Amino acid sequence: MEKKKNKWFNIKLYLDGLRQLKLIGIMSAIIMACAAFLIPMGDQLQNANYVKYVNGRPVGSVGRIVSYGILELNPLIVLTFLVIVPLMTLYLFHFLNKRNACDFYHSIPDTRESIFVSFGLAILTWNIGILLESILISAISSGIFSYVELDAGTIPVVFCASAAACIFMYGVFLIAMSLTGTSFTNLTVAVMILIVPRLVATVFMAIISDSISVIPFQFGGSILDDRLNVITNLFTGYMIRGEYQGISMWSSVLYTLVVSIIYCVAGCYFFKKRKSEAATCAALNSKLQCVLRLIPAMMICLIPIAMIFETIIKSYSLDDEEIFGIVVLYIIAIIGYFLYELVTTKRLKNLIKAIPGLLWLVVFNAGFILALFASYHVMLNDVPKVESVDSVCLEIDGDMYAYDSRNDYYQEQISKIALTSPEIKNLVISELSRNVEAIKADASLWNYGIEQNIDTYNYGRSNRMILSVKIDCGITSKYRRIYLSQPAYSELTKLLANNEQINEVLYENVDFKDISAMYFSYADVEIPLETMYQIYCSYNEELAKLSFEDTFHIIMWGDYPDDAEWYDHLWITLKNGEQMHIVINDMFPETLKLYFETVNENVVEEPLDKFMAILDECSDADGTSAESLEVNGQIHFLLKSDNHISASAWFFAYKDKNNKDISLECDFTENGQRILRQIQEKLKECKEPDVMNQNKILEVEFHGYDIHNDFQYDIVKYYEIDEELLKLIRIFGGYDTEAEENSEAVETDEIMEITGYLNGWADNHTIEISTQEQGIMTLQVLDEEAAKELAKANPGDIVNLFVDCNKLENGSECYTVVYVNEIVPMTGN
Amino acid sequence: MIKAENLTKKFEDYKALDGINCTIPEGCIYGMVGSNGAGKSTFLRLITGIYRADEGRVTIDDGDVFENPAVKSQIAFVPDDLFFLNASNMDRMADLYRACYPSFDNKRYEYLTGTFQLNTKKSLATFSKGMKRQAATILAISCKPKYLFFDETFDGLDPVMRNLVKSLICQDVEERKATAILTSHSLRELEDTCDQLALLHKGGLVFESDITNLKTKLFKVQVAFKEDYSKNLFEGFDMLHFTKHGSVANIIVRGEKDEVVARIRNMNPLLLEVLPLTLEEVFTYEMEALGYAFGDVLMDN
Repeated sequence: MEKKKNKWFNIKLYLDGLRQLKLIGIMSAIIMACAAFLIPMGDQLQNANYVKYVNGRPVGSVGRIVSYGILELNPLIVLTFLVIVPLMTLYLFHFLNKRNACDFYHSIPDTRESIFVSFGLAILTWNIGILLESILISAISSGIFSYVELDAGTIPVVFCASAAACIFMYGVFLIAMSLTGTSFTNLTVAVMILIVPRLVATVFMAIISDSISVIPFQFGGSILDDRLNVITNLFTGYMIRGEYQGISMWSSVLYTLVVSIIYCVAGCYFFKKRKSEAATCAALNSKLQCVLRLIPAMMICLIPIAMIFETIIKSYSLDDEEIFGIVVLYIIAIIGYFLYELVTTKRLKNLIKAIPGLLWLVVFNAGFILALFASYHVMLNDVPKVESVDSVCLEIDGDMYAYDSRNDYYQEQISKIALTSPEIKNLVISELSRNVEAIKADASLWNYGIEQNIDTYNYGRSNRMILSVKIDCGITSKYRRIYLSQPAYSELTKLLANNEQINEVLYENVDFKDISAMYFSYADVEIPLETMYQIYCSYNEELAKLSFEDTFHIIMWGDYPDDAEWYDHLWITLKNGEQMHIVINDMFPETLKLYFETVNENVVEEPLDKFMAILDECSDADGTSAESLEVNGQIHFLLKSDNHISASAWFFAYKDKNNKDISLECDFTENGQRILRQIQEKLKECKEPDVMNQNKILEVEFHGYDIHNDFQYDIVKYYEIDEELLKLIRIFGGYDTEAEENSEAVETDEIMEITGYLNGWADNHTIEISTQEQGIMTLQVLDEEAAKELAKANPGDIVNLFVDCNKLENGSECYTVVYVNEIVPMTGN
Repeated sequence: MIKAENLTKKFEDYKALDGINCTIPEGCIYGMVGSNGAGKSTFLRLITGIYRADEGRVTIDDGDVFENPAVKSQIAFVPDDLFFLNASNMDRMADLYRACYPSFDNKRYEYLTGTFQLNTKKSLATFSKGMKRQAATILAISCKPKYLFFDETFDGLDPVMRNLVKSLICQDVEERKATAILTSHSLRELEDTCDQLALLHKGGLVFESDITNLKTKLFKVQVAFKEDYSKNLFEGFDMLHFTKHGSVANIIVRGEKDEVVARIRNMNPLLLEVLPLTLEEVFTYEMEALGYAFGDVLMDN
């Protein structure tokens, strides 16, 4: 007696499915295996070669191990769900596109559900196998040498996210293949299913967000968060945030899995309903074909819809160019509508039949705009009452315009804290209400313009007062972007100062064991990680001595006082991928001192010595070097604080290994070289810099690139400068050209740099200029060269001069122009 | 038993089958003829469970066919447009059939491939049209189904292979009481294989009858009389067709031959001759009687 067949699964059909996919499966497995092995090996080699450098900078102890998540180690894992699953699905279910094949599969004694599940499991089996193989091989590859460390904690989430994405793609492609009957329409409809829902939702909210300043575009944590969809986030993640986070979040795994189950159920339904006779047809029926035509056209229409909506809401009037643009876009949409029909059915007659369907395009456009209006009014007026708010979470964005604000560790930690204090809730809701009333009064105010209408306080950069909040009201959450007034901001910082959890985040040191990498931006020395960690802890200790508000500003926005003198940045990457960084500056003297000591202790070679050594090597035609030399080098002296003297020199040196071909280009004279040697001698006598006397801290940097050996030099060291050394540097820097010619350490009068407007010539040797600080000045022009230069200038031009100040016997001061640095003609001159 | 009740199938605006009613008993070899587009393939696909009927019902052994694996496992279908997996050979297809049909018989498969002398390891893409049909037939028969459906059964087969396939079908019907439905647009091909024949035309079942009945119950009588006579002379006979050239008339009569001949002999004809009819002629006259002009059907000779 024959066993009754299972309605849902046939193991023999499943095994046959595995077998049918053998060729694609094996080839994919081989390609993925190669990638899984070679990419981590490439990283290992890269790290081994550049183990001392990250972005050209050292990263702690020699043999630094870089911690990688599994996706960083092998980014091609995404190919399983992006490419392999679609390929396998298209291959195995290709029978749906051919009458004879479709008839065969519909005639076999298996239910449609059984075919769907059995073949689907075959596809997933192959892909799960390939995923596991990729992960395993990557893990092995990363363990061969010690330059890369796999953060094994990332494996489960990435694996589960990828598996969920595989199921997702299977469901999407099955829906597409069940609704259409050609390979082209299979693919286009699958892409539509993948992209359109997320695209429409994103565009819809982008339009609303653009119209209502308090509605943020990115909904971290909400169902509209683009990170939740593991597949589309691969694209939106890089476009919006520059990174792909979706695959590393358990919430994304859950969301993707739920949606994939829905898609699979839908796919199974459509597959079951699919008629054999639909094979080779563009769509199952003419109504569906109409819908499919409308979709690409409607996507194009979203652009003019956004323009029209904004015009109405903000009471703008469109100029001719914009109207023309809208018309053109609608024409493109209509062309797209007909083009889809033509390409999928290849019948010109169908274009005529498709014309009535354009009415639906009009209806959908109108419907979308009405939906926007409705949402606009609902969301604008959706201000919860304080009593209904359970808690508030703050998303404090770093300043996107400041490169040094990447402190997403703090942002992440703070955003997780649910603030329940009634005062904070009250403040947030009242500020939100104030914002909403301002928008209602004048909807044309845009994101930053709103600041001008509301009394907001601009501390530092312009978005300092913008707060993104998640307002939890029972089971729902609202996301808003609030523009705070100065009093509200001050009140908020006071309230946050009293919050224990916030204080913990700001003041507690991250554990050393949670750190993956640390490096300085400028100091090119090998510093042990433990020492860098000490610097980080010292910084935090000193930070804690500041007021909460100052600490908050510094940590969240990198907002240091304007007069703070900074020397370097310490970047810290955690094992979970979050980053933070601290600025080594004179606000924290103990940290600065530790930094100077550490850097100077670990410098392998004096920067100026290195510079001169390469120069000498190339200058010496009889040099015994057997190696070729091709170096681009620059030495830079910087005295910060009040003096702010900066001087640099550059050379390009080339010498072949037989010493036959030597060339040297540089931007300094022989005299300049002599001065450099004097500076070199002086530096040997210098003491360690005193952090309490910023005016005396000299930073010497050597940047060089050895083209022949492909090696970068970035050496920096700090010294305490004395008067003699200061003079030498001023001379070298062109602050005293006369003294430079003498190439001696000369007594120089004070050389000043003055900028002002040229009023004119009082006589042949005297000019008058107007300066901002010193008012009208009379200057002697005795130097011939300087006189020639100034003769070219016209009254009103801006002149930048080096001026010698001599004290006369009667005590007054006489200014003499020694050098004309620059003349900037006034517009019209 | 296969039963079709008011079976209708539409493809958008086109009605491929319109209210077909028929009963195909067990152990029968049922032939179906009709011109191109008559609905033969559609009918087969409906009873195979590939298509779902828009109206009416088709049952096999009182069970609905569509999406019924229990019923479908008893059916093997060899379509007009054959399907094989890409780059497969017969053995590979046998594996697929084995996966789908629990009753697939390896021994039968091996026996049949030997009989037909087909290389089961060779790619099916290299087979000729006829060889592919042989392969498909072997695979279907190896499933040992209770119901065998062949669409354009002998298309591409040489006369020897045709006879071989016919004998196989007859053997299965005889030994396992299988039921076979064969379609063709040629009566000659089905004449010596089928028990019953049906004629489909423009989606409708025009004519259905037992072959023996068809051949024996209808015959041509050539007769001549001394006196002048007309058609009315034969009013008492079940006459389908009457033509007269001079004094000789050709009459197509349905009934018992002996009885009809005796009655005409009593009329003292000058000439009386009974001639057998070909199946085509039988169909022609039967359809004329039904009011169809046979020329419209455009059947092949």
